[in-house]
Amino acid sequence: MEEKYYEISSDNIEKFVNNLIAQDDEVIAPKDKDGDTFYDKITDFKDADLNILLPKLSFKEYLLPKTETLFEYSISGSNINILDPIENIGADGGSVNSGKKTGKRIIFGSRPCDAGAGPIMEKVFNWDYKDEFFNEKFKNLYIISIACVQPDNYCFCTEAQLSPESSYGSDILLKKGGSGYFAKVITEKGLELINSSSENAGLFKEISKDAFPADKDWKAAFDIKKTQGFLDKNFTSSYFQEKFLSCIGCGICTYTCPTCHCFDIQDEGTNEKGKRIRNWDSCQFGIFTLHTSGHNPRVTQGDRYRQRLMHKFKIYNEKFNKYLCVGCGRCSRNCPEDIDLREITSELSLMESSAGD
Amino acid sequence: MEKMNDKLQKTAKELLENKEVNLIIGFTKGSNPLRMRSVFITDPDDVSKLSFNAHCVQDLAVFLKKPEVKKFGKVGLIVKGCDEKAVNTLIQEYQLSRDNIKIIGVECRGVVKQNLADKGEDSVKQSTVYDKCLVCEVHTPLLYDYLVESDEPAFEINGDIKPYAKIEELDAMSVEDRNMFWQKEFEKCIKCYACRQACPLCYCTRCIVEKNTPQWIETNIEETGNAQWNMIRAYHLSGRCIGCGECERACPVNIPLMLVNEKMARDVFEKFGYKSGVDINAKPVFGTFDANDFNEFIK
Amino acid sequence: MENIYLPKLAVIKEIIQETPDTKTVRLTVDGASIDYLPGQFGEFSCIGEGESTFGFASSSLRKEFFEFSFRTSGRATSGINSLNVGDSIGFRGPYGNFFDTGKMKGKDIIFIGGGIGMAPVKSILEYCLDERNDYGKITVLYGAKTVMDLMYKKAIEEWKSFANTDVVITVDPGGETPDWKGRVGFVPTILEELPVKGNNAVAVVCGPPIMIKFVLKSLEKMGFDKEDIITTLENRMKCGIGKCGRCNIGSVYVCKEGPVFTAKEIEAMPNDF
Repeated sequence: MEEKYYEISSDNIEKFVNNLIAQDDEVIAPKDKDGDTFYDKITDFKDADLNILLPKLSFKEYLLPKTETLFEYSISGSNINILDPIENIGADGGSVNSGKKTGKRIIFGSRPCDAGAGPIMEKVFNWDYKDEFFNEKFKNLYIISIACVQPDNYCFCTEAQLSPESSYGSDILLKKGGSGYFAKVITEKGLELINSSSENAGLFKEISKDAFPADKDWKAAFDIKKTQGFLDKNFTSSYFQEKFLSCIGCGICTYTCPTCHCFDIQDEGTNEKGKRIRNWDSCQFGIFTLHTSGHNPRVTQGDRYRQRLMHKFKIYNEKFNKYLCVGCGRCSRNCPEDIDLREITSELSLMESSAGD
Repeated sequence: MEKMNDKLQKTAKELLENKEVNLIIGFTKGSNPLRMRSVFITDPDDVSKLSFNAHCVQDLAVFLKKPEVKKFGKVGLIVKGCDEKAVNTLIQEYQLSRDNIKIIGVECRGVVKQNLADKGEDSVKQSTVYDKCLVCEVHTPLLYDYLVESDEPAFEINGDIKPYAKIEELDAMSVEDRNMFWQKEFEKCIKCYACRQACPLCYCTRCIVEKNTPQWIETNIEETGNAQWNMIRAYHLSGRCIGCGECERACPVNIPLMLVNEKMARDVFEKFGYKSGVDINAKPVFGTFDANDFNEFIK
Repeated sequence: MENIYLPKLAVIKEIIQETPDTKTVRLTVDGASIDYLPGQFGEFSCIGEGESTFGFASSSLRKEFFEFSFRTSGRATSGINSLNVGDSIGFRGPYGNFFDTGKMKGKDIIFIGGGIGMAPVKSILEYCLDERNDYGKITVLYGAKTVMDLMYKKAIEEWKSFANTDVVITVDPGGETPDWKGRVGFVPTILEELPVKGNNAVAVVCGPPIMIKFVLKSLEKMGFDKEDIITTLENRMKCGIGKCGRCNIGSVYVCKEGPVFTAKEIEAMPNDF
């Protein structure tokens, strides 16, 4: 659709969000929890903590839950009954028994980096085979982002082909200014939220495109294409083995990443009934690629972190012409060993002209 | 800190030059001025990278379990007193030969909580250091080959401090309430296994959580799987955990894992008079049988 | 909406105990085989214990059943191992690419299999034997660690009965028994002793990664063109359909772009398998 532009006061944005909550839509926002901020359900606008840069984890779990039921089974004798949950999945995590059907789930106060992750994951879940578990949740997820003013030293969204003011993946992008916020409505879904009641529609004052504040001229500090250029021809580089001696092989970088989507499939239950589930999994675990024979293609942590870099900045790009990274910097901020992805991608971009394999 | 760094660098350089070790693992400047990170040095000319300050939060003994590090053979390790206890336990449990390690102990005056440092905190005070620092008995490591003395004063402790105060609070709760508390905490778990990976004593080549015949721990990242994982890990560390606190520091969802570990350590001390990681010649408390143990059933 | 993770239930028609720890299971869906091609694979599961990835081991021209072979090692295969004739197995597939039989027509073919890697080789071998006249000379080289580890004993006798078909069975040095009449030696060594030439010929190879690496070298020495050496790679998989993110070798997803590759394609891959 053609983008629309609005202005809304601080008081009215509060009313808008509280109206959405009152409409029985599930509203998720950055929320303080024991001194840190996480995306969580809010029951009032005042629950939202909008003063921080980024919540500690992304909102990935609302698209790809930590654990998700793929089907349920019951067994009696040699009779097996399989219950397909696909018709019942909704926004609320794909639970078969929740009873709540395809309700809207709204992320309020997301950042442009997090918003960008949805459409990036969507490509993986729909090349060839269509993953309706993901698609249903994605379809029902409405994203209202607030542009960043001041990225920190771990942020590199601009290098990752987004920007602190990018609207990629958002339904509505808010920018602070005027009497409160300026709003850019990018999608029909965004418009649907604004027009969800006449009261809500009245809170927004339509303005011309020119009246919407222009993006700052964000400059990339390094060229991510050069990072890819290095990865293209340096699989055997000693850089990986040396740099990741300090990697302890936990899954924090992958689990806090908005775009990492690898999963495991497992059965759980008794001999009579249970379910097949998928769980988050991580390429940083040694067991991830371990063959039954005991052979492991990725023996060292250097091999494993190299895979993460390759997947993000080469493999995904070759398939979908985008990067599997939004530059949010969570992997760096959360890494217990201070491994900094921005630093690494920047270093690799400078090594692009080195000899190669 | 300058004097400390000079001595650290000098010691490391000599060890490398004299081929007494093939690798030095120490601390170096990290991604921002209030973060430090590990550095792996093989070239004597690189020792200038080494430094130490109150942001050296990591327990570098964790790297001793890595196959990539073991390949180096003799290693020189820079450790704080708390971290050094992990080295002792590894030796006690035959995971490390005393001959293969040169312990470069640093006298530590406490480290600043990383979450506070990330918000700009740079001073060592009662209110900014980890709980383990408040009860620290090993500002000077128990065992070392070289000691690098601190040139910083000790921080002041005022009044009645209660490290790990939550433990008493939990002890006073009903079983149901206590259960509820932990259920809520474990609900947050995302099973990234950072607690295990950051632990210098979680060295199993195949963790019980990765064994599936039988499936000891449910794979789900929900109530049951999370509780099973966290409780079983706690038990595997009982009588072993040296209290470095790395599991809790690494946890991205802030589960207070040290409450479990500290409680376990207190119980082990109370019932067996044993403190882990203090004596490389002591037998691990749960690796030995003693007729004087309090349990009747075992006699 | 389709649930791409939902298995069909396939009924076990027959179980063949191949070796002490391997079995071949013959399955039907609605009383017959399913549509697939040699080289493809499926996700087979004991419902309640978990899913595992296996290549088809049968000729897709035989319509009465389809089969796969497995070694019991983890929870999912232990579960499958506990099932009996008449029980159901969860099945998803077929997935992946397949052997280009068009390219093989009219040519001599050498089939080389090691250990349980013989399973996908058996599928394409029996497919070719089912249309025996379309192909030139067929040589089969199958190796196992020990005599006890040799699978497909009954099938081997059947292969030998075809005209213009040589079947060579070998076991690793030390794996022979006193009454063993086959060859003794590693697969690459025995291969180089065979009267096989690379002109107008195709080689099909499957086995452990280390065997494949050496066999490829031997075949090149014997004059095989890299494009005429075809192998299947089986990296660890979970979903089988390009989502779960663990089977890639560099940019190649084994589950979608494989598992069948030519030696030329493999040569272009990074050493990530």
